[in-house]
Order: sequence, then structure tokens, then C-alpha cells
Amino acid sequence: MKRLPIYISVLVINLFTLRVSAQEDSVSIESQTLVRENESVTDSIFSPKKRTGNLFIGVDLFNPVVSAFTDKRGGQAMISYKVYKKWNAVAELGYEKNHYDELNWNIDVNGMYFKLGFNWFISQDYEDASNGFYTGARFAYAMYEQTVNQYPIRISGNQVDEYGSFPAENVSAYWIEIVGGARVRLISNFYADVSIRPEIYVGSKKQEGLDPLVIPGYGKDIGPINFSVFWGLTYKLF
Amino acid sequence: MKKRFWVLGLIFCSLWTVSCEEDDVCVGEGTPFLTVVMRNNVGTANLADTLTIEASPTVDFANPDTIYLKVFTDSLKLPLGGLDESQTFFRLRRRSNADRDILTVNYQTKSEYVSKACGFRITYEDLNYSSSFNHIEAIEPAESNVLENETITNLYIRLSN
Repeated sequence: MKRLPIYISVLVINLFTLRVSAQEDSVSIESQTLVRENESVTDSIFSPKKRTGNLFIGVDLFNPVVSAFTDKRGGQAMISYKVYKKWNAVAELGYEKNHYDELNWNIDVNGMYFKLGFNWFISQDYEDASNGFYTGARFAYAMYEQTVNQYPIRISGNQVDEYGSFPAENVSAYWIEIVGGARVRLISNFYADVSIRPEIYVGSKKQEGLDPLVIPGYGKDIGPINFSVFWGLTYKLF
Repeated sequence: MKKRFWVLGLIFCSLWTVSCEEDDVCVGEGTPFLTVVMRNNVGTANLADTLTIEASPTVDFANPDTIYLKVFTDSLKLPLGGLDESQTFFRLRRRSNADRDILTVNYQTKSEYVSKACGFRITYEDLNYSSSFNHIEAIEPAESNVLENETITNLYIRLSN
């Protein structure tokens, strides 16, 4: 049940990595690219930029797919701007509504999350510097409303004896994401931007001392590390 | 080129292993019991005796829970009530005597988060006690009137000779 979205994500990412590897011959020029870059220092006439993008906007297509199978509802948009050479500044904004209903808990959350960070391209396609593999990091912050419809109370021994509830309260949480992904041009100015992100939970503003069990943008079953997937369709503005 | 696939492969593998990790088994501390120690009538030493103890949220003991049934002991662990309760009555019977004592415990409850698997537990504040004095000679509350940890004795009961 819980693994289903992950299986799908892995499948989806694999499909896309296949796509990228199909362009292997162009990507593997990277060693030559480096040589050419060196040359370009000496040869000022030579311009390595044939087709490259600076500003990209995109939406996540993974969450809508996942929402068909789980309680998760929401969407995410991103903007990426090339700041310097291989460095891209990235901002992401999302909304998520989620529900936690396990181990006698019943929690509803909904709210916005923001992610700020960068992507650094490990390898770029010589023909189109927007294609390539990247790594990066994000600082993420979610501010959301949490309603604890039911929480378990253990009075004697190891069984749940009674239940309580808390009214809706505004809480927040923040975490760090390590990003690994790839961007590849599909058609005209549209690019597929796929990344996988180990998320490291940092902290939160708690309701009644309760650790968050579900955070918009972070996920359910909060462990020290979660994974999220961004399956983006991005559009190159310029 | 090969290296890159190794890295991607590693990421996917770790995705699988991490996704299985769940801590669904409650091993945290639960709601504490009230620890009561029996002493002799001058309060100099603990006094073990055969006790039968019943608990009830109402004074009429309509449907009591038997906590101890003829147990020879000098220290008792008594469960208090749930979140919405503020009073628990205990009926103490010493050996097979016909006259029994009723110990009343008043408290304020508070819920405290333990963990995802355990949920919340209850801690008690403003504990105070009253009792009848058939076989109980006196009740002596300990310094703390807060119950968060059941290893600390909250109440001493002096039994008559």
C-alpha cells in the first residue's frame, strides 16, 4: 500500500533515465566540452552557447498521479534561473492536503510549502546546456493547518484505552532536501525535469508537543529521512 | 558514464530500503500508576499484609475493577482514571476483615505526547487523598503531588496493628 507510489516513481524515473541515456551520444560529449571550454579561454571568438536556457518554469506531474492512489492532494510549481555557469537558483512552491490514518491516529493537514535552493549541473549537453544531470539542495519550509481528529492514549499496559482530539492549529515544519536529477528537452521549449530527493527532517513548531506525522511537501511516516520525487514538466522562457 | 548509472542505481536501492523502515511498535513509557507504600502504625518500617483492592470511578463501587486479590505486599501500584476523570476510589480490604477502607484520590489529568507508535499518555497533577480509617491509621502524601514517574512513591499508608 505504502510502497505503491514508490514503485511508480521508480518506474517513472527509470523511464526518464532511459530517455536521457538514449541521448547518450550527445551527453557523452562532456569530456570534449571541457576541452572546448578550455579552448574557449584562448579562443574568444568561439562561443559554446548554441542553445541554452536561463529561466525555466515548471509544474510537478508526480503529485497528481500519486493523488489517484492516496489521500494526498495538491500540486507544486517551480522556477529555475541560471545564475552562473553551472549554478541554477531554484524556488519551488506547493500546496498539499494530506491525511494520516494509521496506528489509531487520524490527522488532517493542509497548507503551503516553499523550497529554496540551487541545482548544480554535473554534466551538460554540449548542444543544449540545459540538458544534463544535476545535483543540488533545498531548504524547505511548510506552514500548514493541522487538525488532530483522533489521537490514541495509552493508560494501562500496551493497549489504547481512549482517544482524544485537538482542534485545528497552524503549525510549521522545515527540512533539507538533497536533490539529484536530470533535465532533458522533450519538444521545442518543453523540458522534462526529474529529480529524486532524500529529505532530512530538521524541526517543527509542534501542536501540544506532538511530533508531526504528516507534513505537506515532506510526506507521511516522518522518519529521519524521507524521499520525494519531482516529475516536472518545465518550460524554457528564455 | 558507467559511474553515473551506479550513482542512480544506489539512489534507487536506498529508496527501497529506507521505505520499509517503520517504528510501529510502542516501546515508550505509558501512563504511570500511583505508587502507594504500606507502613506500620508508627511509620517506622514497611508493613506487608494480604490485601484485596478494588478500583472504581464512582463512590458506589457499582462495577469495580479488582486490582489486587489477596496479594501479600507492602507496595501497591494503583491505576488512576482517564483524561476526563478527576477522581478514583479504591476499596481496601485487609486480609478477610469485613470492614473495608475507601481511599479517594483526586487529581487533574494532562495528556503528554510519547511517540508516534505509543500516542499520548496521561500524567496527573494536584494529587490529593482522603480515606476512611478502619484499618488505615493515617495517610501521608509524599512531597510531590505530581505523578509522572511511577518509580517515585506518592503516598504512604499507615496500617493499624
